[in-house]
Amino acid sequence: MIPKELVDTINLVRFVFFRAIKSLPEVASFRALLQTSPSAREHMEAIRQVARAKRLQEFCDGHISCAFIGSSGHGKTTILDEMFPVLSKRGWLVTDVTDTTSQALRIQFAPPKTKKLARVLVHSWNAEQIKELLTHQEVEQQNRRDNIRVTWLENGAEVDGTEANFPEGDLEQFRFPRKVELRPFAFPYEVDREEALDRTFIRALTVKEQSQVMRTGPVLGVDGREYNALQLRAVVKDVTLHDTFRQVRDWAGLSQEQASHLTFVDTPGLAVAGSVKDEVLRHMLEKKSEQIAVQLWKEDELDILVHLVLVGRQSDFAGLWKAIERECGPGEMADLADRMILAVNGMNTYFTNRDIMAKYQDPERARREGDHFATTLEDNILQKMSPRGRIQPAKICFLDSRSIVETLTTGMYEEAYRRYLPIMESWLKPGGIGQQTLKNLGLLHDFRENMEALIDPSDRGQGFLVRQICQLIEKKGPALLIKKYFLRTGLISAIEDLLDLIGLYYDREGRLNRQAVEEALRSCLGFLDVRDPFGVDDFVAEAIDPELDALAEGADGGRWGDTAEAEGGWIVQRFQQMCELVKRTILERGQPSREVAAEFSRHFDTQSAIWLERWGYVTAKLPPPDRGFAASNPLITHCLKLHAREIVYQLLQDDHSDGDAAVFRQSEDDRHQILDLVRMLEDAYRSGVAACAENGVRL
Amino acid sequence: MSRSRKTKTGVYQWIVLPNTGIQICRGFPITERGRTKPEALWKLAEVVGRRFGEMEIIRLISDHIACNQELDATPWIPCDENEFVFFRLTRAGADMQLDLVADTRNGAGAQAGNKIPVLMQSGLIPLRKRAHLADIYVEEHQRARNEIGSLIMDFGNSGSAFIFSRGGAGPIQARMVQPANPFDPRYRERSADERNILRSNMIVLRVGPNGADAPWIVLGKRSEELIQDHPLATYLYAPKKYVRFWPEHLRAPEPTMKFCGILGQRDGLHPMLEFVGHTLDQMLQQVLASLTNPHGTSDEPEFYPQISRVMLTYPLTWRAVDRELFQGMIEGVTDRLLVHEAEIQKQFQVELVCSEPVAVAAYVLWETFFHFGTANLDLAASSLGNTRGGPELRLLIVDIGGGSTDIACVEIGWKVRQEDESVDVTFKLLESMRFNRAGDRLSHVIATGIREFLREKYGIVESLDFKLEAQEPAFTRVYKRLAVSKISELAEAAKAHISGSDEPWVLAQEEEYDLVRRFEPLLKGIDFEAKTRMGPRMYLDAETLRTWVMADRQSLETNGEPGFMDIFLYLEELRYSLKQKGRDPHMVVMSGRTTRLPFLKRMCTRYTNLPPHRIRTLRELLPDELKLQGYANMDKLAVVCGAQRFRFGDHIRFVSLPDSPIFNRYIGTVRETPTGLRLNKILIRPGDTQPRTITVPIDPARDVRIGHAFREDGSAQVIANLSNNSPVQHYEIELDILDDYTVSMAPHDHVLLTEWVPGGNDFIVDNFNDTGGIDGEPEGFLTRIVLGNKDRWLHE
Repeated sequence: MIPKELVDTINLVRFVFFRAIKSLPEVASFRALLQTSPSAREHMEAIRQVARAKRLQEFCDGHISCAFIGSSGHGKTTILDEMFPVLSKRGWLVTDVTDTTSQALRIQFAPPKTKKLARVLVHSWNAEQIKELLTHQEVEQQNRRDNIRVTWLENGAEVDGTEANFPEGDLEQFRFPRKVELRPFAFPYEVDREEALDRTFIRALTVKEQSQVMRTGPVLGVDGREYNALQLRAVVKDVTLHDTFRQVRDWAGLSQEQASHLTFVDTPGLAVAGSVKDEVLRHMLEKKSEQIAVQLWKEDELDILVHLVLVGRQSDFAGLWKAIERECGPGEMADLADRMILAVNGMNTYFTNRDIMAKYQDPERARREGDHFATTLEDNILQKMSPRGRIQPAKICFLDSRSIVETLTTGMYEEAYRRYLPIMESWLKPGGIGQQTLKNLGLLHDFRENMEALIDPSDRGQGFLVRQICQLIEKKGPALLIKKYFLRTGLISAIEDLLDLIGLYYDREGRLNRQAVEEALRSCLGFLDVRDPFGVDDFVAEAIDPELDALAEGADGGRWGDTAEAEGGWIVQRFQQMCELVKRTILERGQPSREVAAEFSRHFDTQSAIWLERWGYVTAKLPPPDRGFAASNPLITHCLKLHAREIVYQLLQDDHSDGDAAVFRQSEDDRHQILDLVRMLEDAYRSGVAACAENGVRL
Repeated sequence: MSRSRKTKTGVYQWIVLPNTGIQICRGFPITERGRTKPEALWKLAEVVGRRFGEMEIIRLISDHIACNQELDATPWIPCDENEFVFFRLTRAGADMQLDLVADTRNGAGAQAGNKIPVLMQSGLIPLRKRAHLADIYVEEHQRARNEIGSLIMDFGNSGSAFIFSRGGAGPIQARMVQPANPFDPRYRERSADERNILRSNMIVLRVGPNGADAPWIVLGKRSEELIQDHPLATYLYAPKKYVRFWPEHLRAPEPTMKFCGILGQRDGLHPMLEFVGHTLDQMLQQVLASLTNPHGTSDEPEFYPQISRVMLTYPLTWRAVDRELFQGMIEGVTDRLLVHEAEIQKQFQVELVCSEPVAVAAYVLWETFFHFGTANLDLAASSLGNTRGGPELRLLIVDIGGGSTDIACVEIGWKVRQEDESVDVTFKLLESMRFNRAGDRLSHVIATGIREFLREKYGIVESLDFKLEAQEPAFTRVYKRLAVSKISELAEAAKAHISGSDEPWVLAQEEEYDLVRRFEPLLKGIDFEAKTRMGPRMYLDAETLRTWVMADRQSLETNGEPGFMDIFLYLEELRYSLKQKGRDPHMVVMSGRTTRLPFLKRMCTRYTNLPPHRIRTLRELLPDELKLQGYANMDKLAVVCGAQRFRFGDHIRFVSLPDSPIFNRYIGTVRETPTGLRLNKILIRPGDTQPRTITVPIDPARDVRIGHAFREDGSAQVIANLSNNSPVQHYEIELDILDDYTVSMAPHDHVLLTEWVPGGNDFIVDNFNDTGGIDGEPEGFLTRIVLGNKDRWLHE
């Protein structure tokens, strides 16, 4: 689904970057540069910071995570249960009760008949995340009200409800100790073969059992620390399971290799209420489901989102949306619609719920109140998914569950849908009730295919959903991966920075010019004292500012042409004028020899090309001063004055080396190493930029 | 006045709304002239007015009401002797008009539906002369045009500012409220700046014995003038510093004051906080009065503001309990003052919108992004110091106000939404520091210099502390109050002068005379008038003040309490800490009036190690051509404007992200060393996850201080104090350290926890204007500093 070439490109760029930051300090000349130049050191440190991003620590395997998010009781696990029948048999997908524990189930591919299929890993939250849940404002308030005391340990917390004032009736049901220590696992827990087949073990992890059948002893132990079922409810973040994806592969026609790039994540239900079964942890566990989704979001683990809503019910997604915005900012949700699929579950409801049926059976009512799709999709879901108005997901599809349909109709699934088919077909006819709404939602074309999938008992619309997911991955997956690895980590910018850094101190042949640059800077800027913080300001105020004011006056009376480029062209021109002015003034003051002046100019020009772009002059667009926009000229002059100071300041910092000139002697081998690294970085950068362009990602 | 309506009685009606403060209508037209000759009317008013001339309340109105005292006017006349509604006739040329005053919070003026006739009558029935000049009608709020909006308030120590943001109005359309002072006869002399920023000082004008009656309070510049003539009236300088939650076990040191007006008094001592409450009440009354009647000339309400939300900013120095206290105080005031429609009432809330430094950052960002436009944010970012590119900024806000200094390093990120070119801006507080030292400290040190000048030149050694009995009985508290007020005024003048001029401030001869005459009882036998003509004189320049500031440091002597200089020393530590984390600020933004002192920018440069062009005052952030009206005072107004833009930023939306839940400082027990406070036993390290529970052993009858520091061996600041009042029992106490500043403890029978509060646990610093205690904490500390370079500032 994700082209292999793209994954290779991502890994190549990543590899080159890591290799460069590892190899560069091993090159003697570069090491000397870092030892002697504070600004180069600082520059390099900022680049290294990017390498520490968690995402870049791992290879890109082209994996796409597809998360199912929906409210408790909307049939999410029932659908997954039918999608992954083998896991269902193993007991990991619990559908018979609604009171399940809050954790994500991560379903990954494993080839058939391999040991990996049986592998189950349990991951816990870290101490920070455990504490974060306990310091949620509402949790703190409720705990305080109930006199539940929390002790904050270095690596976790202890929740003490021994003095809590719960109602007597609740207390009678309590089975676990009232004092509960919550600590993260030292490492992920691997469920052994026996446990993986042990229903009791699985239920202890996945279900909040009734108190009378609750096992209160330790369920598992990690690194010598034992955890009972209540502790696990609080500390487990996710359980990773493996499956052959047989049905998924059949539905979407995926090869094993393609399926291996897919991960399905079953997130805990939204809008979960607290339960007395959670005993002293009831307040904190009330918030856990939402917190899991927020954490997955924060860790960039949700590529494709399947929001599952039961027909006739409302979406609770807005609550999660708000929580994510609170934690990450509103910009985080900007491209959400592009990677979201709305899965409308329980298609049978359109044919069994009287209120909904009335919407298409009574044309007058449909006209007056809106048809069945307008009510169930537009009013109940699309208008409610975001705290700020309507959003349109990338895809909408309808699906159903065999078990539910057969329970409700007490007949076979296919029989029920045979009855529903003519009704559905009537909706598609011109003038049919609902047809216009489907058209407005852009579903008219897909609905026929969706309908055919629904009547197929082996598909039930679930296969259709999977195919929609695959189509979306094909369409958006590459861009998602690029954004994830190149943009959000800052990898491409860091490579650009690294090339700038090398270009600043080495010539095109790989020769270190640090000594020459340093000497040139020292010679030209000798009139400024690096220890006097106000020297630069005084110099620019006296020698540059008046000239910039004069240039601004000239600009006011100038003609900048009528083309659209004029909006940016005049700004670039003004910046270049400022750079020339600064360079000329420094050379006039410094009175260097011709050779030194040439070296200084080369260095200055290299730098100013970088500044021009990095400081936003290239992309800036403001009406030229002759277009009657009074603010343009003063605004640009203001920036130029500040940047003139910054330029002199940066040059002066560069001039200030804390090393011995001898260290700058460079061997031929050293020069070749640098040249190789530069070529490698340039190739990687070009590949990265090309991948972005090909996939419509703006850098 | 063309809108004035005649009623059935044939007179014009002035319409007021209840609970909109003291309402004034100057130059109201009268209709009586048709029936009575003007001269007769005037004469009648003079006769009637004389009858009430001895009434204290009338004297108060005559002397203090914000009406033109230079006009030819009759004496003030009460509409009813039992009500607070008054009028007078004024004459300009041939035209005769009325000045009307109604207190809409007490008596008849507070009751909707009341009609109060403006009536004069004299003589006995057969000869009675009677003139009905106008009616005052108290209208129901619903009948006025109601405008829904939000009120944004920045309550400052030195001054307060307000914005009324009408629902749907853009950030620039929102109006700055000029809270008209009803008790300011010099109202016409006040500049626009003085009207935009209401000085927070208060004096009690009138108070009755009954606690239910609202006192009349005078705020602003006028209160400073009044204290000169009424030194025994209750006066509060910079009230914000008294906003502090005092738990029951710490009630004893809570400062109190008597409640004494220029007219009337109330029994007993009253907590300072009560006066803060009256100040806030008066402020909001003035805001309401100004919105309904902006110029004191409206004969009907312009509109009634349906305030659906009050948005407050707060200093970082306030603890959560102080913030809640302040919020509660404003809620109390709004409950009393605002009249809401049912729908608005349901949604009404008083909200703490953001801290003051975050408001300043929002202001800086909004103004910059607005002027640059969303297409040019890279250029905007580089102009704010991000020279590496990318949509991020780290601004270090150094907000030096009147009473507190808040420093915050804010990490800012943004994303432009392509579909509508709007910007989502996120804020995250990386680090913060808070000090109880600010502009008042500089005033305090200058006041100490002035006192030393008096000692040197006139031999005045008497303490000015109001609570101490004077050696010379004739030097009464009245004299002390007058002297302290003058010293305070001179200190402020000196600061203002140094902020705007390279020349030193000189205590001019006439000012010196005005100062010295307040010490007259101490100068028996001295021709001090002649002496003021001679040297030596006091010269104060920026360098002298800088030297004083540099010496004002935490020491054993100050019991670890930081001085003004410690702000910069900690700033250096903060810079070091941020650098370690790779989070150096791109730019330092200096806000608050005190930052006008030029040497503070130089000190900031030195201690942040950033180049001067990356340290900017608010005035320097944008070119002059882009500054809107009122920009000159942006160092003060940035907080209220920033808070308004924070919430109503139009296409630039702001969101505060939660702080990272890790500790940034070393936290542990504190010990004293010859070089100041240091951490003793370290219990928490930077990077540890918040919160943490620590156990602290405490011996019988001992105190243990908990403090934090940027480095293991760096200067420590106290954040809490544990006190074991058991003489025999040792305890192991569990403390929850919630973040770098907040400590909490479960209630204990013998061990008390006192959270860190600005100014220590039991006193409020730099409040010499309220106590007369110049240089008393500890005694002589500032004196030694100013005498260190006496020759520089005290010479011929």
